[in-house]
Amino acid sequence: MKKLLLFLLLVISFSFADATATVQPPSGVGATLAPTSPAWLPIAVLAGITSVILLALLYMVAQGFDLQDLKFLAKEEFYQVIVTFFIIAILQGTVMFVDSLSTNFYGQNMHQTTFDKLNGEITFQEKIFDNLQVFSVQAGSEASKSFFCSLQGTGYSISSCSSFRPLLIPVSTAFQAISLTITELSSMRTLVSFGQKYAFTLLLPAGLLLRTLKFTRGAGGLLIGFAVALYIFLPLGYLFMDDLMLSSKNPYKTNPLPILPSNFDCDPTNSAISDSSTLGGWIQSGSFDSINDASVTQFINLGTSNLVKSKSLYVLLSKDVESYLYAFLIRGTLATVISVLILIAGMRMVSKLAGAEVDVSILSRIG
Amino acid sequence: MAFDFVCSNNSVFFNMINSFTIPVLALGAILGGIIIALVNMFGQTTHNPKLSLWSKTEVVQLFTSLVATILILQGVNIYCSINLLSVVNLFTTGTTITAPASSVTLFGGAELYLKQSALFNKELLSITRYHLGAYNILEGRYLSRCAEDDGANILLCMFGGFVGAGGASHTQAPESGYSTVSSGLFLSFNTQMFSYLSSLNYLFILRYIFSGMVLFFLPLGTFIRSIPYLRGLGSLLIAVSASFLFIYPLVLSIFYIDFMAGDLSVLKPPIPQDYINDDFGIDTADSFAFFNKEIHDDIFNKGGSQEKQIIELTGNGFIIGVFIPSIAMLAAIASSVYLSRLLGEEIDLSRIVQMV
Repeated sequence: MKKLLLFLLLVISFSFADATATVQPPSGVGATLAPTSPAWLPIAVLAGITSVILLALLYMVAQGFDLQDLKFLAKEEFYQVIVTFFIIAILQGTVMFVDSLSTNFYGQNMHQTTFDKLNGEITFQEKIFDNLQVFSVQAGSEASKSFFCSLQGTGYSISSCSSFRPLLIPVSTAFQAISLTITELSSMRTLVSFGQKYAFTLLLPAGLLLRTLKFTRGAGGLLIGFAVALYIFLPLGYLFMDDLMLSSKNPYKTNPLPILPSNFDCDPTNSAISDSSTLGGWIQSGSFDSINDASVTQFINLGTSNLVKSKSLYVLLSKDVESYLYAFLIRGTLATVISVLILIAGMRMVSKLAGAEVDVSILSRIG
Repeated sequence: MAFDFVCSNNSVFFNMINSFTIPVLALGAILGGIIIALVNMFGQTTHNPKLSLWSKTEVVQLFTSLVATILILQGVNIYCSINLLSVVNLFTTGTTITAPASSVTLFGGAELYLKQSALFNKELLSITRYHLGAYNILEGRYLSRCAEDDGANILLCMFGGFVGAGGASHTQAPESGYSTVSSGLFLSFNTQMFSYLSSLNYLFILRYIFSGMVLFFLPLGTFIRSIPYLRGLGSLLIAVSASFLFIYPLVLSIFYIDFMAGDLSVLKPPIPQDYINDDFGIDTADSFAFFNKEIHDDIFNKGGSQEKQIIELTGNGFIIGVFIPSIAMLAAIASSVYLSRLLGEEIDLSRIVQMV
């Protein structure tokens, strides 16, 4: 047994020969991935060896004062350190495996792929934001138009464009949804970037050191669980969701998001409330699939009544609502929520393996 | 210069150790010893082996409690001797380290983390307030003007007022559509407020810990632990106070290492400083000057509005203000469970997680 332990200690010391970094330099525009971090494996092994030294000192004290309980404690903790080294070896193998898979599928490592996809998604959502803003400003401006006329103390005022006002309600809801979506995506991008730079170089060694002593094992296990979940589970979860959302069978994959019109106007002096029979027929039938965008657009641009124009806009919005809902709720919100749940579940599993018995589900409630 | 609430030479913490903790600790140990001695004598006198056995067991427990207390006080000294700046060098690749002092202890790092997290969210709130205030002004701006294409109305509009006959005009709020953008920004504002208050909440907890929570509960726990049937309570007090003193600041200071990278921080990227302390108002002259002009660009005259950046940074604020301090709290709770087990009592602290 002593020879085996000595052999293991010697093998571990050779791990200092591994100095390869695990990430590639960042690329792409916009926000950049954190700079290449020092290789995590030597730091993690160094933390483990520090734990061994601490336990050896403890054992020496126990031997010197003939404290059997302390000797037993030191031996038990030493076996835990060996388990920890196995965990490090398994982690190294897992990381290399996942990175090679990612390189085969996407041409770059897992973190860079996830980071680029998140950046792309945020840019996509911000384009929707800009589009909605332009539409909203125009619609709000037209909806506010009114006309008044008075002669010799008698007059009238009329808000002929108030039919445009209901258009702003769904747009307001859309802004709330997109605000949440961008916030969640940005949070996720921050976590991915933090995980790539610090999870294995800072959190994991700190967790290993804390795990050495019995009364800090809980905190150490939690940090180890968080580090592993942040480095492996979170990017994998998002890549999985992204592939699911944008798979070839998904009908929203290739359809570009429709651009909302912004070149409509309202005549405040025109208070006619006539309707077009064709447009009325469409609205009554509810069959939006048969609506031709060009036909609807002509109702917006031609000199028809303000009511017809606003109804045409509403019909266009109703047609496009599925695409927008998919963009906000599925691509933006659901993907991040599922990824965070995967993170929390992974954290709970690894923390339990590492010896931390704490309820981490509260973090999913925060998410 | 960062004030270290624990490790400074004249800190309340060390003054309390010298003037309160050590005397009370000694008093607690002596009282505990007296009680144990009395019980042992009573047991010997009445030939009650149970009492004698109990007193012998309690002597060992009293000794354990005292050793635990001494270790905790030594732990504080170790925390005060570690300099975070020397640890940072392992994780920065040629970047400039931004630290408020020449040395940052583990306790100081934890406090600085929460302070800077609160400041980050506060600055976001200021910029968002400016945007919301600007949109409020824009939404309420109305223009009245004559019709462009109606001859009778134009005449009535232009001359009716002069001759007192009447008037006619179109009224429009050209920027009222920004109200919908406000609704999205309000959501971000609420999230930022929540993150800000959360940072302050965790900072107050830290200050409470640093103000001497452990120095009060430690001797109290030592004494109570020696009393029959109250060992669980004593273990709980010692475990909770020790864990919250060491683990909670340790985890926070680990994350503070990223803050010290300054502009290259991953968690706390730089906030655009353009609109943090700005104010904008429209007076009568401005209103006439901007009669036919978009005033949106004049309100956001430093490169345009920044709604999208604000919303993105809200995510960062949430992570540093809510998520990470919650992890620190969970780590402290996990450590409390293990420490109390070591001191001889199983406790269930899962309910304290509700506070998170």
